[in-house]
Amino acid sequence: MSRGDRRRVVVTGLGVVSCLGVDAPAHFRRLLAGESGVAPLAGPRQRGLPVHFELPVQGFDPRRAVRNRMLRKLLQPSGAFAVAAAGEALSDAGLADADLADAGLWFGSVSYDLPSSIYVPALRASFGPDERFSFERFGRQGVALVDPLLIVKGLPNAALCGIAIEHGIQGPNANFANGATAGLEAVIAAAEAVRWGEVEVAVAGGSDCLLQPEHLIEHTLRQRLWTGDEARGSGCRPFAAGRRGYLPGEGAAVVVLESADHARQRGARAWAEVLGDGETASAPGGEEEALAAAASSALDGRQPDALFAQGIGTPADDLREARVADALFGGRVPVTSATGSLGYTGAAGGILAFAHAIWSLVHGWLPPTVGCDEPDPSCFVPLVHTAERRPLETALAWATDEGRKNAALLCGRAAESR
Amino acid sequence: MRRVVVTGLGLATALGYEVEEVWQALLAGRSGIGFIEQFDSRSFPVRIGGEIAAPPPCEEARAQPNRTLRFALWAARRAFQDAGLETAGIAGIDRRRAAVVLGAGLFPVMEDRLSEDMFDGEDLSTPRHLGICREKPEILSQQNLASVSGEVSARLGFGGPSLTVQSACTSATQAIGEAYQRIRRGRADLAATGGADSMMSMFCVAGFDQLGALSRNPDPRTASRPFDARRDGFVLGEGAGVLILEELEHARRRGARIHAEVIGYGSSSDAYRFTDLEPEGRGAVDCLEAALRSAGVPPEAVGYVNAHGTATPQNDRLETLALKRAFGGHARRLAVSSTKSQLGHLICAAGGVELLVTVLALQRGVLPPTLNLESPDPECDLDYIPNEARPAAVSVALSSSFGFGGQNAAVVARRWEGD
Repeated sequence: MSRGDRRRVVVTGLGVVSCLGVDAPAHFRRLLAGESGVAPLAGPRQRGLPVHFELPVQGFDPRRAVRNRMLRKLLQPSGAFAVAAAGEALSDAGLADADLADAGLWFGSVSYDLPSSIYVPALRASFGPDERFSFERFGRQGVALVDPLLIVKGLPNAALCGIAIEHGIQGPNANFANGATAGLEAVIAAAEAVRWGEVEVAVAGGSDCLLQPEHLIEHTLRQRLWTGDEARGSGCRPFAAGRRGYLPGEGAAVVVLESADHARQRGARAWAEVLGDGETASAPGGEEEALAAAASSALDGRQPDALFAQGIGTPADDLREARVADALFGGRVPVTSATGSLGYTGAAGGILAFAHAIWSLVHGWLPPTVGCDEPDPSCFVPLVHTAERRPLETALAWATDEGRKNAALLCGRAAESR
Repeated sequence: MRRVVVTGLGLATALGYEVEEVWQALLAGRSGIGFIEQFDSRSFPVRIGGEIAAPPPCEEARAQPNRTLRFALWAARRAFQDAGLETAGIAGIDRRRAAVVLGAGLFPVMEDRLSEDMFDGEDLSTPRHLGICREKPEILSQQNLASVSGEVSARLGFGGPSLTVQSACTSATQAIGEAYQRIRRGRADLAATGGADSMMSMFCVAGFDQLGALSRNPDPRTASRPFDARRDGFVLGEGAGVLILEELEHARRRGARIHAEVIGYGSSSDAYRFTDLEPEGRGAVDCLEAALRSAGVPPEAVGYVNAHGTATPQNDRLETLALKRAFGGHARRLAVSSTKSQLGHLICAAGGVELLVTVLALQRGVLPPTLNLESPDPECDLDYIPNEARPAAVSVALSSSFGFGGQNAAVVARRWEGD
């Protein structure tokens, strides 16, 4: 297939589960209003940790969101969010009752996701009267107390397989456990499969949950969490002078991609078109250059009308993003970040930013950046502070794992609505 | 579309760290399976595995904070060297078009976190856990699957796509497929791809055993018996298999030695259940057919299949059924073998080592055997190359993986004859 034969890829469905709402309309209403999903972090999970708030999904009912009872039993919250967001995206695309046996599915996921309580019974049985653990006791008594589904329940591909089972998707697929870039990488792979005619329809997205103690511990020790004890804003202050990290969040976003021809033939309306992408990596020292290269690849000489950045509120990460945005756009492109509203959402972060970009293209509104109370002149980007009416032709979303891995996607208003 | 060839091979297995050494051991019918020494397994219901006893023979790999990363880095470095990239070769490549796509697992290793006062009611004590992680920062590395591909990208100086694929037992085969598609479609010129994993820890052994997936046979030499009537589950292995895939003209321009050509890839989803295969083998058939379609070859062109062949009663029966459905009458003439009979099941790394073995089989004209195939199972009635390697000039071969959750994938490779 020559370059000219490659097909155009459009987004025809969108689904979101976040701390702002368990469906896309609720999520976007509160996002545009500048709200955040911050809540006190209570109970034993927080004991001994210097973090006082989290941004949990609230009001999510797995019995309504996930039809398959076996899945409800097996899936961790991040997996259930994914299944629900995929259901919404497919309904949005008018494919809720369609035969999806040939559809593709790419997903960006957590690393292993297991509640620590799943280990406890077997471990407890292996401590003797001397309060010491013994492998001898674990082998004799502990093993039998291990949940037979221990390995299955924690699988990073549980969300993808849950979506496949719930919605009958049997085509080509892959699951990326790739940190903050995972969700965008899933869209990139899915769009390529549509572009080259491997599939007509593909579901792509990402989900994550950073609220488990092991994540709180990891992000605490890496000194990336905001540790203040006041509930003002969400703690995260993207691109602000006093930025000191983020709060943990969770959520999922899923899109339905299909060839423009396929969408037109079945009379589906397209929300947006996928125009370009970039994916890069870097050794220490090359992070800025690598993020810029991912963005440049996605842009391919074009200038976007808005940048949906990560803005996680750590000193180094925001500075890197600001410098790259400045070098590429010279302060001419408005920037918005949702970390103040949603917290740090790991593998879901990039795909949520992509969802926001699509929504903004459709509705002509840029969502605000919550929490930047005092812009840092040495980390300047033209930030959207309050919701802004602004018609867009194109929008760039990127995700970056401390610059070591970077993914970027450029989307534009669908041709029909131009 | 562009053609993709294999120009580098590297691995870490229970039979050794060098490709030639492992290949000769496989052909000689040696088993890498022994008693697990990682932890004191003497009282465990299952205490055998394809464990790698010695640390990797290079400081860069040994310095990594967990076993998966150590194996990944060693295998990637050796593949890179084998491809002639470490010396002059690297100068001519555009590093932004060099990708790393690795299947990887990093299951939390609880034995690193044991201490008195580790509990808080029915949960682990967060303050104690925090203290332990502060003392042993390597525990944090167990939560970062992205770092497996990220570290390999950084160490090899590859600046293109850097992806960790986690699709359970299908991870490495899907990683290879994602790398292959990127090169074929012009997004990258070369890629280090395959997989790395170690589940050689007490909760993994216990979890798989409780699930009923592991062989309870206490004899290391005979426990892993794919397609045999007396098979009773898989034997856990660990390690890594990494291949350098490269666009054909790119490889030719720099004068690289070509091991084989990758000509097709297919993946599918059972959309059925998490631990059971679909009873008609539907997902497996779909991925085999998709791989053959992608390769543009008829089933009759394929001479050898390196099977998933885990030695669980269900997998081997349904895999046999799937091969018959996908290959039709030709299934009876296919030579099929399972490398898991000698190395155990490397989980997220399995497809990497197994494609590597498939490439060697094409290149050397010898097919590796399935060990411990002694009692025929009427439901497993294909030619599994029992117990002894077999010389055979095969021109097209296939390697497949089927994973928990229902993801399936297969890669088709062709012997390189200089065309």
